[in-house]
Amino acid sequence: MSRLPTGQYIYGESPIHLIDARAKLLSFILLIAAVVLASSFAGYAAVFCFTAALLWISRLPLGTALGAIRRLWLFFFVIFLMNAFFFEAENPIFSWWIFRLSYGGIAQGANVVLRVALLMALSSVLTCTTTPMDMTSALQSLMKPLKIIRVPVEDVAMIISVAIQFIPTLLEETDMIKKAQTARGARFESRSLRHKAECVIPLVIPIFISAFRRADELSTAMEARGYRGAKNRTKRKKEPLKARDLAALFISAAICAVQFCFR
Amino acid sequence: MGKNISYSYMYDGGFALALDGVDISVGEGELVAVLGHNGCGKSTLVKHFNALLQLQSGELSVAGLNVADQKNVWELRRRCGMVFQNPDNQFVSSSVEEDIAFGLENYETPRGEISGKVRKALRLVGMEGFEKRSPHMLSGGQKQRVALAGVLAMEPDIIIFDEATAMLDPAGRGEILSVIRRLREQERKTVVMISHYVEEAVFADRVYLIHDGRILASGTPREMLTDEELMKRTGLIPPVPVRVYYELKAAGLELQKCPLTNEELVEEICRLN
Repeated sequence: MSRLPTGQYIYGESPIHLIDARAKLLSFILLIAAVVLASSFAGYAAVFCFTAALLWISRLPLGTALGAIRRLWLFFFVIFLMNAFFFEAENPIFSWWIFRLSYGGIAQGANVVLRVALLMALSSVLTCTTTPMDMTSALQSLMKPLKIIRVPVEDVAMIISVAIQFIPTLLEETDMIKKAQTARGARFESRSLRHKAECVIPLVIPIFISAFRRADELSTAMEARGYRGAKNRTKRKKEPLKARDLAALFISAAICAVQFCFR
Repeated sequence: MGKNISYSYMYDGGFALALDGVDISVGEGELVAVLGHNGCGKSTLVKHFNALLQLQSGELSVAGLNVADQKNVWELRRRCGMVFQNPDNQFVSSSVEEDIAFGLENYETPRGEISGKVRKALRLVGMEGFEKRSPHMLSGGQKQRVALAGVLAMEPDIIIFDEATAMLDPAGRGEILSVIRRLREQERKTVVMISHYVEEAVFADRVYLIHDGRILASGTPREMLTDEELMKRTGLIPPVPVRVYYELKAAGLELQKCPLTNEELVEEICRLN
């Protein structure tokens, strides 16, 4: 038993869960574009409110859905400081040596942090409400045009979905190896940068080896269950997009278009 | 089923003989245990049954299909399911339902039949109601039962357990063993289980002992597991009741017959006075 890992499918019956995976994936891409295009305060407010609304409608446990953002707080903090202090602005509030704190910089920092956080929240809504197999078939149908240039679309989609499904297992393993190496005297907790760097290798190598071993075992298990390439499998029913799915696409496209026009 | 199977693993500039002229036969509906210590070749042997390893020499037919014939491979893997040792490395989906459907989808089962078969398989392993759960959130025994359901959904005739209990705690092991017994009694499946826990072989119909790629002996669990000399040669430790029997004998107390289960041991000890 383990805690629910972030970014994994969580069972639910909210309207977001029910949207067709293809529509959801396309909407996601449109919303990403909207976030990237947003530049004004109003624009940010709009995408922020929309993302919050999505989280609320999907009824996901917030701690899990936003766990990744919380875990990366240091990263966000550093990005914010870098932008705040190194932004080339006309009238800095205060400057010393190479540091120039300015209103422009603070705004820029907030900008970047908000943008990345929104992207992470959106992708978490996508992966938490879509089962890996649905995602696989959605990827398959969206990548279909690539078949013309001989990309094995079915296999690529299968690889992606199996890879996503192994993330929690590998995270758990990382944790275990970390403890094992700590017990043998590795100094993960040390504040010295040199010690930290020295610790990376005894952590990364066992994880690599174990990932290869797991991949080997999984492929044997898949073959034993009759897997012979993704082509000859039961096809998912080709369901046409419903009104709900089209509405999701339309709303996302509208948000994206509005952001584009008000740039 | 099989005659004179040999298999060598190739590695840089040489090869190691893993199986050396093994003869094995399993009857329909039988529960056969293959015992041996680590690295004795038991996994190598059973991986031939569903053509995960190619037959290098000898003959083998499973469920009436010739294993050496490449055309039979896919039919073979449907008729002969396999549950592996590590519960975490068998899942392809983070939803129990989808994972069980994986095998069915590989055989192009019509979409409409899949959910019924998935539910039936879950009922067989006593895991109804777990359809929407993520395998990661289950206990070891539950994970292995889901893996077994994935195999059962394909309605195989033969099920192979490749040390399926080795990584489980005693409770999980008990769960799997009781499901195995039920499968055999109610579903009439042929079961081959390989293990290095001798206790698991007690309720088998027949036991094969493997050592260094050779079959040392085969017979009923009573013949095999109570033979101290034979167990020692295989590199296995006999079950506790058998050990108690020999210890008592060494101490000058001879029981009427050598017990195999705890219940028999209690009975024999009570009979002493």
